[in-house]
Amino acid sequence: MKRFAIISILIMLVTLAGAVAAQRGPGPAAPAAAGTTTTGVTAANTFLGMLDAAERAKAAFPFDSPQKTNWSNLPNGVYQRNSLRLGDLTPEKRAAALALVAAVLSTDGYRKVTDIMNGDEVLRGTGGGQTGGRAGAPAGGGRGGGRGGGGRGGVTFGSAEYYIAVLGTPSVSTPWMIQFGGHHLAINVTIVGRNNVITPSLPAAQPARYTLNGQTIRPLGKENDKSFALIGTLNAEQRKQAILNYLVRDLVLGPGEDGKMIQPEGIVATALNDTQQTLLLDLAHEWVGILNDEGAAARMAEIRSNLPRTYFAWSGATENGGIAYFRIQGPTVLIEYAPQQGDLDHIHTIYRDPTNDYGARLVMP
Amino acid sequence: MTRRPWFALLAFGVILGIAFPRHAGAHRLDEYLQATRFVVELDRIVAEINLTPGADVAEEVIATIDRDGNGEVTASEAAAYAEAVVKSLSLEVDGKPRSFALDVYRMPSLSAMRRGEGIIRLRAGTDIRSSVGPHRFAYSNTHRSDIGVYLVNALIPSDDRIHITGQSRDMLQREFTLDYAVSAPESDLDLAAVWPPLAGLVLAAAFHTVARRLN
Repeated sequence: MKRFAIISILIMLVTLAGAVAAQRGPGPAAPAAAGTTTTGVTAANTFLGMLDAAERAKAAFPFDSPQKTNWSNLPNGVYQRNSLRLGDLTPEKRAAALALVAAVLSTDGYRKVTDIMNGDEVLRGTGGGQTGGRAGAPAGGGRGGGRGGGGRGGVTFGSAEYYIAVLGTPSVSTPWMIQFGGHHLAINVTIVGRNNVITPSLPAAQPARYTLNGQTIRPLGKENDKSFALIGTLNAEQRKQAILNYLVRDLVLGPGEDGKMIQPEGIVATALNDTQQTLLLDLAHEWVGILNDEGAAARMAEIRSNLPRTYFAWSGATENGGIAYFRIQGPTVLIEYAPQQGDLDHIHTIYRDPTNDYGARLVMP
Repeated sequence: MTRRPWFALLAFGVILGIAFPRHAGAHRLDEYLQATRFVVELDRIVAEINLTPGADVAEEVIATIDRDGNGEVTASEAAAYAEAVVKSLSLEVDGKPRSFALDVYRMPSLSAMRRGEGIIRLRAGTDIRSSVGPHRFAYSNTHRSDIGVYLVNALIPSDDRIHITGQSRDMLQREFTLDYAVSAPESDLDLAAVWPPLAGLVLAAAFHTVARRLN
């Protein structure tokens, strides 16, 4: 009899403990460091250790500094980044800065970063460009030219015009962050122990296609091709749900729109078949996978587990080569892809995690 | 570290065969982007509006703002322009016309606008009384429709009682209709929080009863 009473009490206690744990939600990040964190800390300390006092003052910020949100797609001269400019560094220090960026990204992610930077070098060589615009607007009538190189009005392009900052103290246990970006690029990697995130980030491209050493480079080519492959598999009923009946001419939640989330639209991922869901996840991985493999795997697992609340929306042409905007939106992901002003050679994209931008969820006590 | 990141960029510097792209439009040119986001609250509808004139149309827009043409935008000129924008918005809530009142605005530098990078930021709102049940608001923006391109979206409501049930737009996103429903306030009792211990109690009581009978 007594034994049954004890068991009854134990059942109650276990159930109560479960309820309390459910209310508390996920705990703080595990402090144990994994390979990427250790590699990142080493690369960060190497880089910071090479800097003189003045350079270090521009590169190192407290973790909670307002610098955290100081990023943009805009070029230098239009937008003030306040961190350390690659062009002001010796070749050795530049190499250390880029090695730090590479240390926390995947191989493909780092290649994407350099492809975007090299694209800006092309832009510099072509004077910044002068096209794009509304359908029917007079061609070549703009005031655009002459913005490359030294730049009209102080606007400058090229691989020297990228900036790096380290927020917080590089650590295998406490939060810190690497911020790297310039024209058409913003990478924000927050590291907390073995966990890390790359949201918000903005990979963009202009030109979207160029030739380097005889090779055609398309910094966001896979994103484009995979999206058209996915929309191409949708049947009429699915397209009816996925395709928006209006034009989307730009990012909705681009730079400066932290902490906002729009009402989702499009087709819910569970209305896609298994093959289409795989294509959707593979498309999302083009952004998530910029991050190192460990971090990306964790983020992809979250996205996969939230497919019943994830939407895919499309606006524009459905044949590859046409102009189209698309959006993937779920509880832990917002990805937008927006050609600018009807120009296939000028693409802006954004990747956010509404729950974890700047590692918000990782640093939660 | 087997990757050599700097070499990739260094290699770029010595390449000879760059094929220049046909188009390289750096930034917004002949469009006037007008992005509106709605925040629906129980007692208020707020419109956050970002206006970005492209470089090619910036002078037109600046001329409208800088009414005396002296090359500087005074506070009163900026306020007058912001008011004019808000007046060009129309809104109906549950079939009745409403007007927005300008809350705040921020004007960029003229140089930023001339580069096509300056964003005029406005925030306007209208007070409403949302009773429990379905509601609809219809919005349209006619500001500078000759050069305007538009985005309009609703943010996910922060109040759990507000549920967006439908959105529709015209092709250019100048017109927007939002359907939403307001649910009744929930009681203070959080069922999600209390059901596990309640279930435990019931289970323990049942176990105890069975045990007593067996004995």
